[in-house]
Amino acid sequence: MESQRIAILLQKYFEAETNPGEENELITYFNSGEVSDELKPFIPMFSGFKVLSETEDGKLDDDLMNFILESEHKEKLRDRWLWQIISGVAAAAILALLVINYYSQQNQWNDTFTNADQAYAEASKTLDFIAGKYNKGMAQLEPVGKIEEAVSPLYSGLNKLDEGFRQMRKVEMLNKKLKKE
Amino acid sequence: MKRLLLILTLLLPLLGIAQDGNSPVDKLFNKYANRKGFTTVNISGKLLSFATKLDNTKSEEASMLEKISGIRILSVEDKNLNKGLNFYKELEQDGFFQNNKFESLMDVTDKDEVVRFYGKGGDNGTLSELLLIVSGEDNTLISIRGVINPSDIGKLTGSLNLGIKTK
Repeated sequence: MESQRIAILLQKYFEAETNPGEENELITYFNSGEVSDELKPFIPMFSGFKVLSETEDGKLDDDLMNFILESEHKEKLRDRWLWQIISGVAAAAILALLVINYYSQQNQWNDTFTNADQAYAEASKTLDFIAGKYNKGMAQLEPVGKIEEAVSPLYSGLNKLDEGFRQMRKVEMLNKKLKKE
Repeated sequence: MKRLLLILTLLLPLLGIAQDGNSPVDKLFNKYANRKGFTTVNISGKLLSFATKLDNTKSEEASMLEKISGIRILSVEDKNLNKGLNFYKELEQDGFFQNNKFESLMDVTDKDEVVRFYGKGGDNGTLSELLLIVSGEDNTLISIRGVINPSDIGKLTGSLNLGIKTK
């Protein structure tokens, strides 16, 4: 009688229509030791379930979940830290650019003259002054040019001497060749 | 704390750029501008180019002024102030000659004044900035920016005593 009921429950079980109470009934039946012969092939299956439910797999699940949540959290934290750095640096860079901009604007001096003619006159006066000083400096350099001029005849003399030496060397080479022969 | 350090290290080069725009020469100008006894003259390149367009003489000077993007002059009028001042020394103390790409072009020494020419190299042997430091009895600082050809300066027949007032 019972085995028939179990057979029906099994069928329901394989069709996934059992409720937890009926599943527990199945488990207790197959672990009771009084299993009818035709249902014996299913014993290992349900005894396995019992072992599994005995080893507090609930705890394992919790551990696993905790681990997953924790690592996710960590990743999020790291991400946030990274973003904070990036946004911080960006903000600082913008601030620095603003400061530079401010400074360079401050450096842009106002024109002393509004009249172009006046500005031109002042500029040309300045250039005249500079040219005067420049020419004066250049005039002081003139003696250096004179020294160069004075030295140049010496160079041409030395060049001639060099040429003489070169010809001497040629004669030496000829001498050597003659001796060998 | 770590983050703060990181940001600071990242910002340092930017600060360098900011300081570069504010060169010691600019600092001197800013320091003494509008003070009693000091005269600053600023002429922008825009105004100059406007003026050179009006000038039809096509002189050597006009063609030179055309290429200039700005002139700044700082001079001291007060005799007593002049005694205690030396722009050259101030720039030297600021590390101007070590830290900037200015090269000494020449020093012209007179009885009671020294005129020092400094140039910042530009393209093709021209100068992008010419700096004149007049020290001695008078103190004057002249900064010219733009494209300056040193040999062009020599072509201008500037006379020494008719130049700008340094007194």
